[in-house]
Amino acid sequence: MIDADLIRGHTDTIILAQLLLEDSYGYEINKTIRFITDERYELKEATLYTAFKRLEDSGFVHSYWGSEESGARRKYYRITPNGRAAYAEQVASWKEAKDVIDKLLTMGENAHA
Amino acid sequence: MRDKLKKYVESLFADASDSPRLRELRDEIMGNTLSRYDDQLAAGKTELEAYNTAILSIGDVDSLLETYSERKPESAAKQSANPLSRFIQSGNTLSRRITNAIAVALYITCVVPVIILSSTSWGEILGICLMFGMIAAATALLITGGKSLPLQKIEKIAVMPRNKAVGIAVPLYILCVLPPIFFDMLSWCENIGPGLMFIMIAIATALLIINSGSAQYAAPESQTLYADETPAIPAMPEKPKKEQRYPNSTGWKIFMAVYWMVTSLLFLQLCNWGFVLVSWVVFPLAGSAVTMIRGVMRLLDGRSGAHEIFSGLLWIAVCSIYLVASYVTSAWAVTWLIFLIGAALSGVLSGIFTLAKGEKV
Repeated sequence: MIDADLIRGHTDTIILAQLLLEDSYGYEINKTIRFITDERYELKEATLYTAFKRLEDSGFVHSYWGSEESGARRKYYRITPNGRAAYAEQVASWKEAKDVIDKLLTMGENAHA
Repeated sequence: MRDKLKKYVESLFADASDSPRLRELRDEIMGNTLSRYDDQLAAGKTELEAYNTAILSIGDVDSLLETYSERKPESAAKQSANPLSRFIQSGNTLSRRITNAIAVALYITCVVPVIILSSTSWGEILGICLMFGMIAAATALLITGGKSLPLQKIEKIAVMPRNKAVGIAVPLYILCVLPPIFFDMLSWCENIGPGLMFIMIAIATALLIINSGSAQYAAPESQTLYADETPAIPAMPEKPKKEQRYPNSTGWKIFMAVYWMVTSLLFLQLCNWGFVLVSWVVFPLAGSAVTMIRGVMRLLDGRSGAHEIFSGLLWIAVCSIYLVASYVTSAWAVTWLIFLIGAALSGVLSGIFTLAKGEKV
C-alpha cells in the first residue's frame, strides 16, 4: 500500500496537472487519479475540496457551475495562467527532490544485498 | 435511495451557517456524490452498495467545514500584517504583467500610424484617429485588467526565462536605430523606418515587462529541499509561501498601471524632445526601480529582498553608465557592450545570492 503521507504534499500539483488537460470537476478528477494509478491511490473528498479552496484562494484555478441538463449540478475548475506557472515550478522542484532523495536513499541498497 | 443520499448530504451541512460559500460547497459535494452514486449503479452495484460507497467517499466533512470557516479570518489577519508590502507584492501576477505589457506596447506604437500615414494627404487624419484609438484601447486595458484577452496564447509565446527575454530585448533596443537609418536611404519609404523602430521598442519592452517576475518561477527556491519540515504534514509548509507570492491588490494594480502609463508618456515626450536614440532607456530604468521597490518591501516584511535591491541598483547603474559613456565618447557603436557586461554581472549576482541562500538555510 502506498504511504499517503508521501503523496499528500503534492495534492495541489496533482490536481493542477489534470486541469492542464481540460476543465474538470471533483468526482471526475478523483476517478482519473484512481484510473491512472491502477486504483492504488485516491484522494479523500475532504482533501480534494480543501485543495480546491486553497488553489482558488491562491488564484491558481477558478470555478464555474456546469450546465448539465439532467442529473447532478457540477462545479468545474479551470486552471489560470498563475496556476500553470505554479504547476511548472512544483514539477521542477519535485524532479529535483526526487533526484536527491533517490540518490540518498538507494545508497544503502547495495550494502544490504 | 438517491433521495436518501441527498438528505444525508444536506444533513452534513445542517449545522453550518448559511453562508453562500458553504452552500456552494454543499452543492458541489452533492453533485460529486450523486455522480459517484450513479456511476456505481451503472457499474452494476446494488443501490445499497452504491449508497454506502458514496457516503464513505465523502470523508471528514467537519474538518472541511473548519477549513472553510476558520482559515479565512486567519489568513486575512496574516496578510494585513504589513499592508504596504502586501500592496507592493501583489498585482504582480503573470496575467497582470501581460496586460501591462500589451498596454505599454500600444502606447509606444500609437505614433506609428501617424508616422507611416503622414506622407499621404488623407492619411494624416486617419493616422491621428488610429493613434487616439490605440491610446484609448491601452488605457481601457489598464483599467479593466484585460479580462477578455486570450492570455494563454500570449503566455505561450511570450513567457520565457528572464535571461532569454533580456537577450532578445536588449538587441532589439540596440538594433532599433537601424530601420530609420536604412530606410532613410530609400526615399520612397522613409517613413517606414521610424515606424519599425517604435514597433521594435514596443516588442522589447513588452517582453521585459511580461518576464519581469519570472525569476521567481525560474529559480524555484532550492531551500525547499533543505528546509526542516516535518514529513507528516508536507502539504502545509509550501502553501503559505504561495499565497504571499501571488496575492491580489487593486491598489498595486492601479499604481502599476499609472506607473507604466507615466513611463510611456515620458518616453514619448523624450522622443518629442529629440532624444529618440536613447529615450528607450526609461523602460529598463523604470523596471529596475520597480524591482528595487519590491525588494525594499520584502525586507520590510521580514523576508529577503537584498537580491532584488541589488539587481535594481545594478541595472540603474548600467543604464546610467551607458548614457554617460555614450554622450561623452559619442562611440555609440561600442557603448552598447555595457549592457552585455551588465547581463554578465547580473548573472554573477544571482549566483552569489543563490549560494548565500543555500548556506543560510
